[in-house]
Amino acid sequence: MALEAVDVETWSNLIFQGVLLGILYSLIAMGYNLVYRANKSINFAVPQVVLLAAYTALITATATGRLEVALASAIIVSVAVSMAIERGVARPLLGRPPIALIGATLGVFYALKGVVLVVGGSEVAVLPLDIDYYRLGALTVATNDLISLLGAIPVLAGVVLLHRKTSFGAAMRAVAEDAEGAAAYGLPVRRLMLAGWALAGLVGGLGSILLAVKTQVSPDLEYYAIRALAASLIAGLDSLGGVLLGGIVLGLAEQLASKFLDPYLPGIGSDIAFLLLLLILFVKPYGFFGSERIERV
Amino acid sequence: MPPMLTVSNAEIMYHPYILVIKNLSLAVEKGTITCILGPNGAGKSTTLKAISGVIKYERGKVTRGSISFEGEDITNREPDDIAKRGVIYVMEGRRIFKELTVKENIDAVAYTTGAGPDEVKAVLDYFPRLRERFSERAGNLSGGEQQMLAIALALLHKPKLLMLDEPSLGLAPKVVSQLYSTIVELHRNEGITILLAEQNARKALEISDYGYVMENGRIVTEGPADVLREDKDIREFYLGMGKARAGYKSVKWYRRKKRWV
Repeated sequence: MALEAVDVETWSNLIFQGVLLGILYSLIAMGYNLVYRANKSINFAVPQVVLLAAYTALITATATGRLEVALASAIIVSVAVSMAIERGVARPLLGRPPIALIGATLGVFYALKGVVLVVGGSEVAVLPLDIDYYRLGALTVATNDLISLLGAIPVLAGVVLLHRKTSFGAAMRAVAEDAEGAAAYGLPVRRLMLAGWALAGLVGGLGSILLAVKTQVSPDLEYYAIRALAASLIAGLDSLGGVLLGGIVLGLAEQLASKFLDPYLPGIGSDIAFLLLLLILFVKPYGFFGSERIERV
Repeated sequence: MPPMLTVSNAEIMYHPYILVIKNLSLAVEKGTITCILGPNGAGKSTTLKAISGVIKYERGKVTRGSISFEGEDITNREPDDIAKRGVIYVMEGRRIFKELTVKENIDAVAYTTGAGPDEVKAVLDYFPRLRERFSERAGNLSGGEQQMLAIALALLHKPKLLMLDEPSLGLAPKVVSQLYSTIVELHRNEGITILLAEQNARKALEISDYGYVMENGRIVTEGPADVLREDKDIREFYLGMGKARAGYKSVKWYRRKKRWV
C-alpha cells in the first residue's frame, strides 16, 4: 500500500492506537525498571505475573460482572506475587551477580506458567464491558481506549512524581544508585527494595488489566509483557520517566509496521519490537535515558 | 565502665571461604578519637564494614568472636539496625549518591532518621559550603565537598559513634586540614566518639587519643596516640621520619612486616 493512499483518518487513528498501546507498554516496562533499580537485574517472571493477573481479573469479572472488582483483584494478585518473589527469591540472592536473579526469576516464570495453566487454562475471553464509540474529528475512540488511557496516565505520572518529589522517593533513588552506601547511612534498604517490587507489581497488574480491557484476556498477553521489556531497554533500564517514550516508540513502530510492512513481511508487527531494540542499542547502548554515571577522580 | 565499642576475637570472612580478619580485638572508649592505621589491604575497611553490618552487602560476615556496642551485642546485625543504635559508617571513597542533588541526598537520609528542618540546618551550619550548592548534583561537587556531604549525611543520624573510612583519601592537603578541623570540632561540640581508619598516619595521630596499627588482617601494635607518635617503627614507616637505614634491602616491605608479625 502506498503512503498517499492512506487518508488523514487512518493516519490519526493509527497514531492514536500506537500511542495508546505504547502507554500500556510503558506501564509494564516500568515494572521491569523498578526491579532493575532495586536489584540491578531483570525480573523475567513479569510476563507470567501479567498473565496470572489477567486471568484472575477474568475469573472475578465473570463471577461478579464488575470491572472494578476485576481491576482490584488483578492488581492485588500482581502486587502480592511480586512481593513474594522479592522476599523468596531476590532477597536471598542479594549481593550475588545479576545473572543469579535472572536465572531464578526465569525459574519463577516457568513455575507461574504452570499456575496460570491451572487457573486460567488457555482461555480467550473479553472482559464484560459495554463498548461505545466516540468520534473526535478524524479520531474514533472506544470506551475501552478511554479506560486504558485514564487508568494508565495517572499511575505512570504518580510513580515518577513519587520518585522525584518525595523524600521516600529520594530514599528509593539512593538505594537504586548504591544499595551498600545507602545501608551504611542507615536507610532501610530491604524495605525500600520491597517497596520497589510492590510498585512494580502495581504497574504490572494495572498494565495487565488495561491490556486485557484494550484487547482481550488471552495467553498472548504474555508476549505483550515480553515486548514491554524491549520498551524498557529502549528507555534505559534504570530510567523511570523514559519508559513512556520507550513504550510509545514501540507502540507506534508496531502499529505502523503492521499497517505498512505486513503485506511484505507477514507478522512483522509483533516482531518489530526486538528488531527496533537491536537497532537502537547499536547507537545508544544504555538506551535513551539510561544513566552513564558521573565519575570524578 | 566498659568501652563504648568492643570487638573481641573477631574473625571475618567474605563469600563463605575468604578469611580476611582473624582474631581481631579492639575497643573504643566513649568520648575519644581512636584511629586504625595501616596500608592498603590491611583490613581497616573490612573491620569498619563488619562493625556497621554493611559487610552483608558484600556477602561477608563475622564468623567468630563478637562485636558489642554500649554493652549490647551487634554482631552480624542489619546495617539499619546498627545505624539506629547510633553507629554510623562513612564509607571510603565518598559514598554519596552522585545522581541525586545535595538536597535529595539529605532528603533520602532524613527520610530514615526523621530529621526535621532544624536538624538539617544544624548539620549544614558545620558545612556552609553545602548550602551554597544545595541544588547541585552531588556528582558535580568537588572531592572535598563530597566528603563534607558524606559526613553531613552521617550527622543527620545524630551518631554516638562516627566511623570515618579514609576521609583524607584523594584530597588536597589543605582540604584535608580543613576536614580534620571539622572532625575535631564535631567531636568537641557534639560529643561524638570517632573511630577513624586512615593511611595518613600523621594526620590521624595528630587528633587521636588512641591508635591501632593493622597489617595483613591483624593488629600489630596499639597504644595511646602520643606513644605511637614516638614509636620508632611508626615514625619510620608511617610518618617517614625515621633515620634512613643502611641499604635498600632492609627497608623493603616484607622485611618490615616480618618484624611485626
